[in-house]
Amino acid sequence: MRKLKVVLVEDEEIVLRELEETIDWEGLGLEVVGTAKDGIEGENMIKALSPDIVVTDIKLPGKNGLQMIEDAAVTNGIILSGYTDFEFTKRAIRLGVFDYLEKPVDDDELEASLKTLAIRIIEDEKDMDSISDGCRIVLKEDVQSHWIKVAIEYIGKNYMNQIALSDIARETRLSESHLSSLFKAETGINFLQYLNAVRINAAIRLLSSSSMNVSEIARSTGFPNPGYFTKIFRRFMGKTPTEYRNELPGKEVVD
Amino acid sequence: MRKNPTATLSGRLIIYFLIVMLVPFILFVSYTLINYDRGIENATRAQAESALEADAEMIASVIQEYRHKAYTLSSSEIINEVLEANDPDITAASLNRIYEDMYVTMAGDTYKVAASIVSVTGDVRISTHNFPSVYDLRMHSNEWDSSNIITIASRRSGSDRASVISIEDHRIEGGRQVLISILRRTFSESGRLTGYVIIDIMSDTIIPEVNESSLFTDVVLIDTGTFSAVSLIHPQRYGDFSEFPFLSDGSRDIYRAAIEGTDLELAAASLTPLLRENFRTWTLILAVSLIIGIAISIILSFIFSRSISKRMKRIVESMRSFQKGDFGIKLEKTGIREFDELSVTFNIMVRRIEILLERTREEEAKSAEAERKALESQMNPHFLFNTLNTIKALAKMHGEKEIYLTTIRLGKLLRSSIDNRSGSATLRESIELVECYLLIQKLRFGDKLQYAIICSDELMDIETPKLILQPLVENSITHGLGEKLGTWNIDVMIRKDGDKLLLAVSDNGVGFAEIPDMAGLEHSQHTGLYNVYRRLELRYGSDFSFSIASQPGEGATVSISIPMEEKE
Repeated sequence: MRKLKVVLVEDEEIVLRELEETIDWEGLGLEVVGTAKDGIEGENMIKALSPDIVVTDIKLPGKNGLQMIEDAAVTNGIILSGYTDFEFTKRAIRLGVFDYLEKPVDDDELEASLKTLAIRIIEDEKDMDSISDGCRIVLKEDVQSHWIKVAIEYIGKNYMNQIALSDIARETRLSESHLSSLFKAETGINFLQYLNAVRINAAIRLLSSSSMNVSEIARSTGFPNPGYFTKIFRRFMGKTPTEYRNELPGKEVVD
Repeated sequence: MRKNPTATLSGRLIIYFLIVMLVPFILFVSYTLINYDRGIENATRAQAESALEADAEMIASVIQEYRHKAYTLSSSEIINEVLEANDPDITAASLNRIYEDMYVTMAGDTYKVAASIVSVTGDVRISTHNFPSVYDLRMHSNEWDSSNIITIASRRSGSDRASVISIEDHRIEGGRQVLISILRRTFSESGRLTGYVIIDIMSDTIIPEVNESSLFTDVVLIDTGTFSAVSLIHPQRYGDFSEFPFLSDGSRDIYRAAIEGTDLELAAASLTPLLRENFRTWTLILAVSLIIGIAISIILSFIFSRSISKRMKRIVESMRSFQKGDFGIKLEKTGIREFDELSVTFNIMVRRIEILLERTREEEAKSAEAERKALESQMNPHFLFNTLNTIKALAKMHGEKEIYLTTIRLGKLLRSSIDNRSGSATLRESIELVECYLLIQKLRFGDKLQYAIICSDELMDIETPKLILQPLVENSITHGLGEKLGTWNIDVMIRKDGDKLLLAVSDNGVGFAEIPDMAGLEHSQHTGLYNVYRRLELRYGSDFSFSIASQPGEGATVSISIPMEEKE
C-alpha cells in the first residue's frame, strides 16, 4: 500500500519540528513530504506536491491557513488552532475541513484524527480504482433509486458549475446525510468522487478532441483550479492531463 | 352612550337612576289615571245609586206599614168614640179596650215604634209608651208654639184625611230617637176633627237597616215638606239643610233617591271625592318623592362617582409613579372590594416586576463583573494557548511526558473556563474537565489524592450548565482536603433520579464547621460554591436543589439536583 503524503504548515519552528519528529507518521502509513512556515509557501508546496493530507495552523504569515486551503483546493485538511473563533469554525466546515483541533494539541487526538482520515482516503482510492482502468472511467448509471437517477442527471447537466451535495439535496428534498449514504450505496462511490469522475470524463473528451489547454479545460469542466484538476486527473488516470494528451495515439507532440 | 364613550361615571349613574325611578312612576300614574276615571268611578257610582235605591225602598216599605197601622187605629170604633167624647173619665173606663186595640194593631212592634192618641183639646191622651209631651195639646194653646207633626198637619188642608209624614220632630223618647212620625186625623161622624193618631218610628228601627256602606260619607233623610234633614249615619246630626252643606253644592257626587208616597227623600254624599282627593294627594306625594328621589340619586351619583374616581385617581397616580420607576409604591385598601382586588393584583404585579428587575440588575451586574474579570484576566488567549502548545512541543521532544500531559490538561481546563460560546456542556465534557483538573492536582499531591467518578454511559450525553462539577471538586480540594493529613478521597457521583439529575461531590476532608446558608456563601471563602449555586438559581429559578451535608472532621458532600436536559 502506498504511503499517503502529508504536508505540514506551521510558523513555529519548535512546534513544526515536534509534529514532524514525534508523531508516528510511519505507523499511521503516512509520510511527511514537505513542511512550510507561511501560507504562501504552503500553497505553492501543496500545488507542487499534491499531498493527500494537509495539517496546518490557522494564523500564518502571508496567508492564513483557511485561505490557503481554499486557494490550494485542499480536500483533506486538519486545522490546528490557537484560539477558536466561531467564524473560523464555520468557514472550515464550509471548506470541508476534516478536523479542527485546538492548541495545545493533544497529539493522541491528532493521531486518532489522522488515522481515521487515512483510512477514508485509502477507501476512496479503492473506489476510484474500481471505476477507472487507466484509460477511461466507467460510471454506474443503471441505478434503482429514483432520487439517485435525479442526482446523476443533475450532475450530468451541471458538472461545469460549482455544485455541491446540498444542491442535490435541495433538488430531491432528501437530507444530505441520507442522500450521501444512498448515493454511495447505489453507485459504489461517494458524491464528490462521482462528480469528479464525470468532470474527468468530460476533460478526457476535451483533451482528445480539442486544442484547449489544461487551464481552459479545468475551468470548462467545473474544477476550481488547474492544480486541483491535475491532482484529481492523476488520481483517476495515473498520469497528468498533459502526459495523457501526449500519449494519445496518432497525436504528434506539438510543444 | 356609544356616541360618547367618555361620558362621566356620574352622568351615567344619574341616567340609570332616573330610568329606574321613572319607569315605575309612569306605569303607576298611567294605570291609575286610566282605571280610576273609566272603571272605578263608574262602578262606584252604580253601586252607590243602587245601594241608595235599596235604602229608599226599605224606608218606604217601613213607612207604608206603619201608615197602614195608623189608618187601622184611626178607624178603631172605640178610639173614635173616646176621642169624640173627649172625656177623661170615659177614657179611663175604656182604657183597657183601647190598649188592647192598640197592641193588637201594633202586633208587638212597640219596641220599634210608639203609638199615641190625642184629642183635639188634649184632654184625652193615650200612648203605648209614656205620652210624649210635645203632643199634649193642653200645653200648646197656640198651635204654632211648637214644631211637631200636629202643627205641621194643621198647616195642611183641614179636610185631608191622608196621613202626614214628617221627620221634623227630633225628639228623644225614653232614650230613643224618633226618626219619622206618621199622623192621621180622626173625625166625628159629622165630619168634625176629633183628634190625632200618631205613630213615632224610632231611628233604631230604620238605621240598622240602612246599608252600612263604605261607599258614602253620609246618608241623609230629607223632608222636602219641612226642609228638614237628619243623618242616618250620624243620627245626632239633624236640622235644616244648612246642617248638610253638601246637599246644596250641586256636585255630581251627591246621590238622591225619593221615598215613594212621601215628601221624603234620601241624599248621600259619595266617597268618590274623598278617593279623588286621596288620589291627588298620592300623586302629589309620589311626585314629591320622585323629585326628592331624583335629587338624592343625583347627589348619590356624584358622591359615588367621586368616591370611585378618587380611588381611581389614586390608583392611576400610583401607576404613573410606578411607570416613572417608583417601585416602593403600594396601593392601600380602599374599602371597595373590586378596587381592593385591583390593588392587591397591582401590588403583586409591582412586587413581581420589582423582583424581576432586581434579578435582571443582579444578573447584569454579575455579567458585567464577570466580563470585567475576564477582560482583566485576559492576557491574549492566543498567546497563552500558543505558548502552552510550544511548551507541550518542547516537552514532547525532550521526552518529558508528565510536562506534556499536564500542559495539554491545563490547556483544556483554561479553554473551558474561557470559552463562552456555550453555557452548557455534556456530562462527558464536564467529566473530562474534572479529570484534567484532578490529574493536574495528582501531579502535585501524588497518591495522597485518590478519586473516583461514577457516571453511567447513558448519561454521558446529558447536557448541564458547564463548570458545575469542577468548581465543586476544586472546593473540596481547596477547603476540605488542603489541611487534612492522610489520604484525600474525592468521589464524584452522578445518577438519574426520575426526571432529575443528581450530582454529588464528597470528600473526606475537614468538613464545614457549620453549614453555611446560601446567602452567607456569597461573602464567605466558598465563592466557588456560591458561584455554582447562583448560576443554577439564575438558570432554573427554584426548580433545583443545592445542599451541603457535613460532619466536622469527617468530610462533606455537596449535592445538586437539576432538571434533565437531553442533548438534541
